[in-house]
Amino acid sequence: MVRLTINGRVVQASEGEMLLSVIRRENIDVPAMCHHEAVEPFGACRLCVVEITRQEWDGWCDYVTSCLYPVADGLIVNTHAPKVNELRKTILDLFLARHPKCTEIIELAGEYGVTRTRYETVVDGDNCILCGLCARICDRMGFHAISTVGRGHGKEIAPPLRQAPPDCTGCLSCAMNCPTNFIEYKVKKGLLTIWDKKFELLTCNKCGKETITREFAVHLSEQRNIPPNYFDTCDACHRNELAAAMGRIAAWDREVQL
Amino acid sequence: MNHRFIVTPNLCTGCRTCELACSFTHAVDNVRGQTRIFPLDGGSKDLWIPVVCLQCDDAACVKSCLVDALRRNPGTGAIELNQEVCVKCMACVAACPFGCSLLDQQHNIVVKCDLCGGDPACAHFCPTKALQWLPIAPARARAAS
Amino acid sequence: MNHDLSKLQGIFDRYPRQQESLISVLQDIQKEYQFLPCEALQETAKVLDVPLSKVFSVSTFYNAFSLHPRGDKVIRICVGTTCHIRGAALIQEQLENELKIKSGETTPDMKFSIETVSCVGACAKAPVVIVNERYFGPAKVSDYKKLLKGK
Repeated sequence: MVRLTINGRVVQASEGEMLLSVIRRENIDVPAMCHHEAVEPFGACRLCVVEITRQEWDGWCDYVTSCLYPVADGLIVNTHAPKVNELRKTILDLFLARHPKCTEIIELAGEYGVTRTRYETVVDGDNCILCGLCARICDRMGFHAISTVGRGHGKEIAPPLRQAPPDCTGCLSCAMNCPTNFIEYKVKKGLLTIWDKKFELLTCNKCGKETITREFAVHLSEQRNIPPNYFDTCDACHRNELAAAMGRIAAWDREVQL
Repeated sequence: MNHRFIVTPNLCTGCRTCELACSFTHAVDNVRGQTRIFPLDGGSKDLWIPVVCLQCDDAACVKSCLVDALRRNPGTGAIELNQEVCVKCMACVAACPFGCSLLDQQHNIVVKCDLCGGDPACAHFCPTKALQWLPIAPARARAAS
Repeated sequence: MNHDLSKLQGIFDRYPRQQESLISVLQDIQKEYQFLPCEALQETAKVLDVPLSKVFSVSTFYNAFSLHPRGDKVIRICVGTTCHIRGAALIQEQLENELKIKSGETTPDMKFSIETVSCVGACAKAPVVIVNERYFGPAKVSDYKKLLKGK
């Protein structure tokens, strides 16, 4: 256990934890776009910058990305110091210049009082902030279907060979967790299309509701030993089945122990 | 781990107070959450069965989670979903054979019963005691009688 | 386009079959074929047990790798700071006009490719042009014929 001070409050944290996780646990609102607890911290968006100091530093401060900074005894953290807010404003200003149409960035920048960028805006850009969260989550899921491709100005997120990714199962984790909702997918007539790959969606054999893709279900059955027939029915119909089954038992003795 | 849900279906009137209790208890940002408990038609007349997560020993939801967001709380015995870790892939929703892992469409998060940290609100609020949260010993005694 | 992939096996045999060998293997493939054929990338992923997405990520990250077939003579023009100041852009323009291709492209007859690189560490000889493995510098615009011959 280590003890540190965040915004004047003494808090406890376990060794090895990162500052941002502790800050968030204390319900302090520090913005971060590239952060997700499911994957290792990455420090791509730089928005989680905070001011750190120590008693013995004699007023000297450092500015670090809290998602990548491990907690330590005696650390004094200020998440919204004037300099920190200035740094965040600059980062958001740069984001705004690069992604002028991105609603998530416009909103966050607005919270910090940045409504117009002072840099030259990118006209034909997209809303991908290249944080790589999608690729990191895909790796964490064990699919490794997408990755960063190229470098510098030409860097982008793409499947291998820029073709439909063979390892993608259409779990949609990339799209669901994209901080700017940039990753597009389409669901049409029982087909899911993402990364230019088409997936058949399983449908509930009772009500016809679409659930997950066949590839994802097969992966879960094979890798995680989930009986394949579990995927035949949707969650609502599963509950009805359970109620009916328990109803039959209850009809005998009218008492069920869960 | 030393408590059990005791359901007495013939006492259940289908009033859905448990649903409301669950929904209010699991509010997110002061907006009602998706209920994790469902009083459903038990198949015969006036027979209602409150369907809630069974906290299975060998749980399909835990097995299906590729990012280890679902973990059993050793204190309460509940399988809890860590929202921070969940990547919303819907694997657990699809895999649970009892449909007790579900999507909260309002907040766009996956939710499941966490036994309210050891004191489930649904049982608290059940006006007819059709749903009770009892220590194991009295529960066994009741089941035996 | 089909390529003779029989040489791949020999390349794989030179290195331990682990993730750490990836760049060495890719370099050898690049040397052998002058570029990285897509089948070779897939084979590399399989043999080294590295996800194909990672192989692709690495092979697009480094300028030393090319995913497109290149000409017999690869003309690399250094456009690093020193070469830029000493007129690399003019040489690039001259060569591009002469071969009627842009940087990063290959002539239809597969004889020449032009690429730009950022500093090859030979700034004392700026502007530097590298034809295949041979360094020319300081290069002049009027040298283009010599450069195309690679002599």
